[in-house]
Amino acid sequence: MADEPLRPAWTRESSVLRLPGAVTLDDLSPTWAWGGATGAGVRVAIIDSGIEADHPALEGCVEVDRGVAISAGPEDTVLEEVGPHEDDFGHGTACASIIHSLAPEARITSVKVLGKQLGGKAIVFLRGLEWAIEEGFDVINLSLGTNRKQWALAFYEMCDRAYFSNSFLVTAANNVLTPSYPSLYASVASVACHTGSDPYRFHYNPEPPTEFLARGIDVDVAWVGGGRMLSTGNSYAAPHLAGLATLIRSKHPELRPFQLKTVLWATAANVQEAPQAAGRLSRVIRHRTLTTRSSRLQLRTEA
Amino acid sequence: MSDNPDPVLQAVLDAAVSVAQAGRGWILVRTPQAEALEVVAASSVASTELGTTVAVDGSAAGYVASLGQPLAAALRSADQFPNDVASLGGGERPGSVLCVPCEHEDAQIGVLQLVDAAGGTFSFDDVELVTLLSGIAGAAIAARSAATDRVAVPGPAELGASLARLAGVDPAGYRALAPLLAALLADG
Repeated sequence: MADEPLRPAWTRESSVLRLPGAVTLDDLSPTWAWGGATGAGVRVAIIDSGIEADHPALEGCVEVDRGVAISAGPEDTVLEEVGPHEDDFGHGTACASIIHSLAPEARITSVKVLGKQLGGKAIVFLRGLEWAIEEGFDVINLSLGTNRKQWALAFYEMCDRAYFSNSFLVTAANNVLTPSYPSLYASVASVACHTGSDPYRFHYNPEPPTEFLARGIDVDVAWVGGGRMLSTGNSYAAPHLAGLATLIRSKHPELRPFQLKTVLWATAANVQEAPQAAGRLSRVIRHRTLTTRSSRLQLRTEA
Repeated sequence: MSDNPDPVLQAVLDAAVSVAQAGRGWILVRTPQAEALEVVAASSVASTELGTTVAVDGSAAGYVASLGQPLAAALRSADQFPNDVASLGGGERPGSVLCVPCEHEDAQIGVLQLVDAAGGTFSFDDVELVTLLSGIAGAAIAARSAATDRVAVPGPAELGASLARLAGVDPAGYRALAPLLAALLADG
């Protein structure tokens, strides 16, 4: 037998990667993406101030015994306590109520990283994110961040780990004009507010690093003490997108994070409503198919 | 605890109250132990709050100082944020609150808090405008802290007592120090 040509060790025959089927861009519509979905089968982690699990708005969706409370210990260590815990501020409960309102059958777990003390947070955030990745959550909502540059690389690496572990990480863009980590990274879905009130309406933002805009102004959210509050901020836009991502994952569990982000792009209201543009991929494919079937080889240009 | 607010912080707060059309406002800074927040500036109708300490737990200011993100909310029950929003300003419960962090060198060192928006709720534009002002407040708070952290210069009586103590416990050290002090006093 003739000598086989040398190939790098990491190459593989493309035939072993044959797929049973694939979604095309033309398939991507809101109905395809989340029509009829409830979030069933999807586990969501909320990395925040805790969740008031018995709040009436949450209707028992919180996995109380499987949550974790993380706090700063001595000499840059962290302490972890698995089990029930309270929401010290209300923010986590608010985020949970938004996700639950969109994906009522998703199971939500609290990763508490904010407590009654004001210091030493970045290391606790980081460990909270790592814990959620290790536990294999499908969607992770992180409406928090740090602007301390010395933590930027650590969060970058952790977000990559989430991406490759198949956890879809949704973060809130910073409300103020200073860098905040990890909302700046390509491996996450970074969300800011739009001015609308429809919880299912979100927009693609063509100016990264914030890639999506969702509802976040005057949002009626659950709050600690069994109450409700009308609140505004990017941290309420993130759980809206997380809720929709949860619906998509429940209906299409095979999607990897980059595919999920593509689906979100394609189903964004401004993408769906955009006028047909020359060179739009799906329509070029359709035209080429039509011209081939009719045996006419000239390509027609878009109007 | 000072009854005289920092003029820069007061000016920033007054500007924030004006641009956001708020009823009242305060600037709070983290206490040295970082476990509470102290009112260091108050809008003119609420000046009795200067020096008041607010717990992190159960306060909008503590929430914002911990989260590092602004809070703009319309309150719907009397027990929301009982430790500042409901207690500052004479105990009148406001209908809306806007809190933004005051940052300096990547740390949240204080909070600018407004209550009672004229229109009922604070808008996203209010958040952005007040955030700009909170940046100035953060720099002013940092400058204020640096000034108070400087070692106070002892007066003559205190200096004399310290020197006498040194002469008694460490004569050699006193002998080394005495000529230097004499030279400084001669120059002064």
